[in-house]
Amino acid sequence: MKKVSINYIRIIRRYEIIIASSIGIIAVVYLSFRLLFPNFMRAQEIYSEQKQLSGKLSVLKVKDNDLATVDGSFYKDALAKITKVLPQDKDYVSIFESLDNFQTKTGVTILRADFQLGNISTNSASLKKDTSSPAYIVPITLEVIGGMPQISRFIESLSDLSGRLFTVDDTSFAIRPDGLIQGSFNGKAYFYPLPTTIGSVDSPLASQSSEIRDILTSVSKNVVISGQEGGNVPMGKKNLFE
Amino acid sequence: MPKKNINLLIPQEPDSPRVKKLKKILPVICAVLSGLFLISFFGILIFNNSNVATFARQKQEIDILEKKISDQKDIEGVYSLSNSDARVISKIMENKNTFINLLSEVQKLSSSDIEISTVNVNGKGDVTFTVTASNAQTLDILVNRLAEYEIQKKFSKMEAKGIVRDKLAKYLLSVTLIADKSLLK
Repeated sequence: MKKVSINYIRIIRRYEIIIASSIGIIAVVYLSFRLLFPNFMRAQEIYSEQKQLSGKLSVLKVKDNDLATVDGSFYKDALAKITKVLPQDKDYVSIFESLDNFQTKTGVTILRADFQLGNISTNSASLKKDTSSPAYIVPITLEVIGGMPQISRFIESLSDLSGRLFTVDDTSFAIRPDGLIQGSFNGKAYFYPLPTTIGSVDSPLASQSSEIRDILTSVSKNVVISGQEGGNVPMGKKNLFE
Repeated sequence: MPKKNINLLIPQEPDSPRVKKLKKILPVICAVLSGLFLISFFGILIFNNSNVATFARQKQEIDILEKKISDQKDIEGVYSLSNSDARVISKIMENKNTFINLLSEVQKLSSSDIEISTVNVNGKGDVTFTVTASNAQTLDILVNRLAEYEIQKKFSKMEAKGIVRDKLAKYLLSVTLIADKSLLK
């Protein structure tokens, strides 16, 4: 027994450098897997999270600066007026209102205004979408009569952002012997339901081109919101002999 | 008797070349790996600690900014929604037609002897109008005016149809043409 242990001691003493070095290497490898690599992964996580945070922070700073320059009262006014130009639903009342205003403003007489039924009277009717924009359309046909300057002003008023927005697809004119022009227009009125959410806190503020700014400024100047709802509507004669 | 020395030490067998090599190489590898491990470990500890501090500071800044922006959500709302509507209007207006320029050009054709009674226009620029010319010379003037418009590239593909002469020697015809897109705006 004593001879066996002496032999072992002899072997260990002979190869002690190799054994100690091997133990050292194994310990380093073990500690690397146990301590170094997890910390390394953690460092990578922290680095990528920090990158994300830095990105988010810079977006928030830009958004905060942009919001500081936004004139809240201007946009509040612009929003109230722009929903008159482009309502959120069919709102045929504003179609009639706008046409009445155009008639008064330009001097033409609107002989007839046709709307496509079903789109107006029922919510279950299918919605028609415009091909060139995200808005929905209400097909409309108008017949007007007036002089050439009046007709021109009327056509301009349809899309000058002073009332409900209309566009004309095709038109025909008949020049009467008395010089008046009877015009017929096929076109569209538009409506656009506004989005119900405005995006998350860290989503950047939408940029605004000069064209958009011009539209908002024009709407703010041109659209007049009447103060009273359901006021006196001028009626015709009550007595035929008046 | 001469002294005899008895060597009690068992002579060691000499190490093989492989063992000699290992005895040289393994300690070096162990020392290098240990050194690298210590440097990496402490380096990562320092990196993590400093980044945790930066992380916490940035998180705090973000929380403050998010609260500030949330408090202004009304302003953000009216800004975003009004811009959204304006963008839709801008898209609609890109394709709008007014036909005013076209109408005024067609009206320029009329005179005391040339009477334009009806004009039809569609969004593609297809124009049809009916004309009454008081005599053949007036008809010739009308044709020349239309030719000028063709040279100016305002009108193209002009056709005269249904030319009739009435009892009063007036010429009635309808003219179809395609107007340049610039006249539709």
